[in-house]
Amino acid sequence: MPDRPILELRDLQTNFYTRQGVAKAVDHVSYSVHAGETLAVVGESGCGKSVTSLSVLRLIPDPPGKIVGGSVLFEGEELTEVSDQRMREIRGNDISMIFQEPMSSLNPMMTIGNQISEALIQHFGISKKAAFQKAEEMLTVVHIPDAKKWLHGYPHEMSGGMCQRVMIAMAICCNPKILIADEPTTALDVTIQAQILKLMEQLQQKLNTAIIFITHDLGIVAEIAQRVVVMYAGRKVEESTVRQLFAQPKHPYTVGLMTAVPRLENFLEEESAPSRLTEIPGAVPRLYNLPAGCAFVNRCSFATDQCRQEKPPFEEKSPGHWAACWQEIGS
Amino acid sequence: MKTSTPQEEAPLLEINNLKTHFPIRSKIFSRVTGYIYAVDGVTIHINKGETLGLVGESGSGKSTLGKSILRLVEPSSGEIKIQGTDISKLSKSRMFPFRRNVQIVFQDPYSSLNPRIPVGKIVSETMKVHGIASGAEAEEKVQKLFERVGLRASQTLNYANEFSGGQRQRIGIARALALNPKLIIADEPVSALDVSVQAQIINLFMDLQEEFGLSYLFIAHDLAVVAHISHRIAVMYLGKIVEIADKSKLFKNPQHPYTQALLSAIPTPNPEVKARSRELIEGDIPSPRNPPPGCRFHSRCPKVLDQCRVEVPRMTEAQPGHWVACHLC
Ligand SMILES: Nc1ncnc2c1ncn2[C@@H]1O[C@H](COP(=O)(O)OP(=O)(O)OP(=O)(O)O)[C@@H](O)[C@H]1O
Ligand SMILES: Nc1ncnc2c1ncn2[C@@H]1O[C@H](COP(=O)(O)OP(=O)(O)OP(=O)(O)O)[C@@H](O)[C@H]1O
Ligand code: SF4
Ligand SMILES: [Mg+2]
Ligand SMILES: [Mg+2]
Repeated sequence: MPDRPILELRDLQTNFYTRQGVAKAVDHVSYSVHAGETLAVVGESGCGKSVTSLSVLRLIPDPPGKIVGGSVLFEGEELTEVSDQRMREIRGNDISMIFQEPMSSLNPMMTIGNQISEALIQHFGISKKAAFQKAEEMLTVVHIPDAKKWLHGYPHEMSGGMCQRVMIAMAICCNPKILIADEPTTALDVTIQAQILKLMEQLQQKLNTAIIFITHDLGIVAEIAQRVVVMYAGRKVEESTVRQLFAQPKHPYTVGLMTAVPRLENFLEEESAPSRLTEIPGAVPRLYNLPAGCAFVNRCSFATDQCRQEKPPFEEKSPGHWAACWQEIGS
Repeated sequence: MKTSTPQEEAPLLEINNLKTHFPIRSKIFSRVTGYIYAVDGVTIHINKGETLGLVGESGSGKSTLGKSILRLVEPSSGEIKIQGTDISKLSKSRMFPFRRNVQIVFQDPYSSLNPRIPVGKIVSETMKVHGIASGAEAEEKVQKLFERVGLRASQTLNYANEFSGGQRQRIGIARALALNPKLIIADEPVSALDVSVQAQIINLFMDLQEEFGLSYLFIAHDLAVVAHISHRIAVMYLGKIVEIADKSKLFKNPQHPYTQALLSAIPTPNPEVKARSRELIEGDIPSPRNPPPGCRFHSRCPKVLDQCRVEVPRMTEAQPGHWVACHLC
């Protein structure tokens, strides 16, 4: 792995200013990803996974949102400071994103062929005819049957799985260096999900793409990523290699996630009757009134007075394994 | 808890060859030009105190099956027996007393909770309509129910939009419980919830089952969730059940190629078993407007035979209690 990451976030901060108050949706988040590597970002709904990556691409709606601090370095270039024009170039050529909701990010009025070829014409400066040919190729790459026919079809005529594959085709058609995939398979059936994960893996091998994969599914993390960042209430609470995380999670929230999720392996034994799951009590707190100390304190079984008063620092608990927790968990 | 109840007792719910076909009408003369074969010949039963899990891809007909049992959509043919009585042909008024025994919980109870009425009132109204309780008695019952499902009694006065997703699901469960049902059809009740909250709701379902001897038809697309809560599991594909068995049998020894594909497609939350080779099936689920002839899975089946393309495979008992519809089995 090359020493220098292709993308590096340092202390990124994004706030939303709303009537209820200021939401620190991204609160001093740092992470990096190398070429050819897959970084998974996990966490429950509302913890800031999407806003972090939208901040990287400067796609935060302003108002109410604003990047208020930190830095995003892409191959040494400071993205928080480049011109809008340059940012558009980077979005078109170098960093592309598969959005969480395919239907809302495809243009319903435009044929599939026109949508893909538009990007190709801009990127490669090729003719419309050549672009359509390439678009058909891309649709075939993402396993759309009858690709030629679908060039003239519209998004609403496709199933959710097909739309998602079109999104992937669009995201990869310009050979990006970084692919940010925001829950690209959450709405899909597992059989389709498996197809798409395989597709992304093949792509990465071919182009040495860096992938940031946002998900709440620990199974997917284990399957596709090398490193992982766990977020909670706008902050990074744990970071390590995937193997380390699964072997010995160091943050009580991660421990909770791992024990709360039902596992298929447990049901291979004869007569395995239904059994209770380990719950995490309560729910994710609203960003407008976070506890003073650790944001997880009200749900944590390890919590002490210190946790209630002071924010735990993000520390290296063992080589390459970081967590933000006052307690020593799982060591 | 036992995996099945003694043989002597008749099943709580018995469905025989149930079909629900939605007519497709032409725009101009609204003539029927074809059918969507959403549920196409389903036979299942659920015993008292048992959970039957129902899995299958989007569009396979799971919700339609659930709604057909309650006759929220009208089945085209077949039998729906609740404790031995076929309700499929009863008039709405004659069905009413039976209908009370079966309740439904939806994926997003928000859309089914009136935003302008306090949630407690929504539940007490249901009781009133079915003549279970009214006035102060109903109110007290609702408060008890709220506490039972993990809400506070005072929250009966709040409105639906003041609750989180997990709490709304608890309200949906309280409403279903209000009529002392014997069977609850739970249609993706945890699919929209975060993992940590999902565990709470799954546990609640299991606790209530033990306490009240409830039966569930538990619909979900997440096999691990279904595995956790169910005694038996039915796998549905394009309107038909393709395999049904005790869950341990189903997972240890899946017989139908579709079940095998589903199982191997699920990512395992364990990086040490990553290297496992998987047999992926290609393509999407075909449209239920013109399902493939023969075995409906044949267009995606890695083991397809010539026979599969023309002949519909019958459900056969591969092993005791393990039923499969596949020409190979
Ligand atoms: N347009 C907005 N206006 C106000 N607040 C917003 C806006 N968009 C996001 N937020 C806030 O930012 C927080 C983080 O949202 P984000 O979309 O990043 O969550 P997420 O981790 O991607 O969750 P999910 O898993 O549901 O996609 C949310 O809790 C929300 O309060
Ligand atoms: N009221 C209706 N009128 C016409 N077609 C319908 C109706 N309800 C469902 N369908 C069709 O019947 C088929 C089965 O739908 P159903 O909602 O039962 O599937 P499902 O297995 O519950 O899927 P999902 O996992 O997406 O919830 C689909 O093709 C759907 O479009
Ligand atoms: S800092 Fe305290 S409250 Fe926060 S996760 Fe660690 S032990 Fe729990
Ligand atoms: Mg998101
Ligand atoms: Mg459904």
